[in-house]
Amino acid sequence: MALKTGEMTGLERVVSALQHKEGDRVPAGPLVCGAARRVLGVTYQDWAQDSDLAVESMIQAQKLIGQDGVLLLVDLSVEGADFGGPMVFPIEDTPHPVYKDNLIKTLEDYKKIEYIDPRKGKRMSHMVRYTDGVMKAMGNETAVMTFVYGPLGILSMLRGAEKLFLDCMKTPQIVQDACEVINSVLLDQIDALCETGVHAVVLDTLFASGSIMSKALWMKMEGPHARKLAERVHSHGRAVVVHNCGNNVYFDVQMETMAPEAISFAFLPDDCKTAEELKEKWGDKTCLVGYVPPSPDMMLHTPEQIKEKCKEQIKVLAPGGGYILSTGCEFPPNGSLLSAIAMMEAAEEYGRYPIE
Amino acid sequence: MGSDERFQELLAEMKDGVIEYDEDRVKVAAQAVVDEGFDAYDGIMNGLAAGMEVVGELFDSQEYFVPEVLMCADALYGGLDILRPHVDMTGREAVKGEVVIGVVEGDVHDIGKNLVKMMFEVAGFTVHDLGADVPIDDFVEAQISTNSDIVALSAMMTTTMMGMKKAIVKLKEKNPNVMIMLGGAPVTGEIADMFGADGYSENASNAVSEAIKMVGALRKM
Repeated sequence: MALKTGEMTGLERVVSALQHKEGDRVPAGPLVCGAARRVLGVTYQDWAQDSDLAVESMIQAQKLIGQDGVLLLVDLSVEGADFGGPMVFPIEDTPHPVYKDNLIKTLEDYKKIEYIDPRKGKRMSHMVRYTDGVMKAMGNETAVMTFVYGPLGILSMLRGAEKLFLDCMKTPQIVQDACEVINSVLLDQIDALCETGVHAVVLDTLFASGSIMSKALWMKMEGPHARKLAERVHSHGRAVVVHNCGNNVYFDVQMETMAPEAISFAFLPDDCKTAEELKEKWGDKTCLVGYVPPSPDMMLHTPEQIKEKCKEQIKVLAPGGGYILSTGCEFPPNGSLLSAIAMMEAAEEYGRYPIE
Repeated sequence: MGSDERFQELLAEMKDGVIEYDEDRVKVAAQAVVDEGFDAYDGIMNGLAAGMEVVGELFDSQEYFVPEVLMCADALYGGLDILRPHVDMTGREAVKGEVVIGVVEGDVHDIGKNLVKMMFEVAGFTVHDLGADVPIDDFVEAQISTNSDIVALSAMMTTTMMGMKKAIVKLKEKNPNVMIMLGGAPVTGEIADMFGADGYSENASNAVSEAIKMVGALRKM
């Protein structure tokens, strides 16, 4: 059963965090996405392609776990599929591109990237229906965040990451031209998603971290496009949440380009060595969302161990508001849901303001 | 210019060519090593591998990132393809070991695996690359047919990571002495221990040192 936690709704709690105020307690929400299907009891294959099942799954998952906010990530191949990338839909695993049959096999194939109407795209329209359904079901009391993958990430699904990175170095203009086309589609997708009244759009700029590419290369290849996407979200009066689960995340350039209300992260940014430093440097500039590891913590640790990790992070990041307890990335789709519930229990037990 | 001086010049060309990801420069120098009768193995180890060692340091210090390392790898392979057919192992220590490597079933993320494979090859291991999305039974079959010392498994997602545990059970059932190394974003030392692996690679650089330790342990048995 969802926990009853006091007078504020989850949505109010999240809003207070985004406003850098202390609410009744720390808002919390493990990023339960694919794992939600297991509450309803449907296969990944069906959940990823049927918006009614996706909506009902999230409704039931939120009732069971009690998140203050939910993330409507399906998988990272949604947009790529609609651009024509061959995809695999395993019965009980995340959909992904066909490894040996990328859409873009040669530099010439980049020309296959053409504008498509996202409202007619099979998977992108699924995202809109999913978002709309969840907003109607719980948007008055629970913060709802939909999801858009950045243009470089989408290209990595269509070209393969290794070849894409080499293209960025050897033939950057070709990549940038493709990003431009993809971005025009994403801007229209953002319009469609925001028409649902969704509270926030999560923009995933995965490659903006020291795990992947230099700050300069990211700014050159995806920075301008990310800026336009964020501006479009803001033009609708919605919040931008950046998600980046890389190591040494580039908070600075993502703040500069997207001015996000929140950043969802899995590791410390490149300019901070400790969580204390993170809170001091960035805590008043953007809401910090995270950062309990999905693996091994959520995947393999006991609920007691998980609560202890949550307690450590709450102690440092929660005071003064501007913090949402969450997982650093998607909650393991096949992980124990008791781990998700443990995070919410931790918010209750250790996250009451003022933090002791 | 003396013969040894000339060789040193070519080694420096290959080393710097790898570091500066200048594939043409590396290939020209590698071809000169062959044409001028210098030792190809020395060319690989003291030219190409020496360059890659510096690249590893640049990567660790976050001056180079994945795209730069991939470019360096392309340059290295340009030279390796030229030199490898001319390597004469007579009187030299045997290859460091045989490694089967692949990304577990359901997972297609292979950049990390490809970088580790390259480091193994440069270090003198013989690598059998099964690619990505590899069924568990294929790992077992490959280990048996190659009699590899090590099986290196990679996974990028928590869903596919669980396949590693099953793979380890099956591999050890067929060959209890095989050493198993795990790597990939969700994998930690803790998980490697929990799953019964023999080693864990945090990155491409330390994969090689871990592998050398494993093969050393095997040779003592």
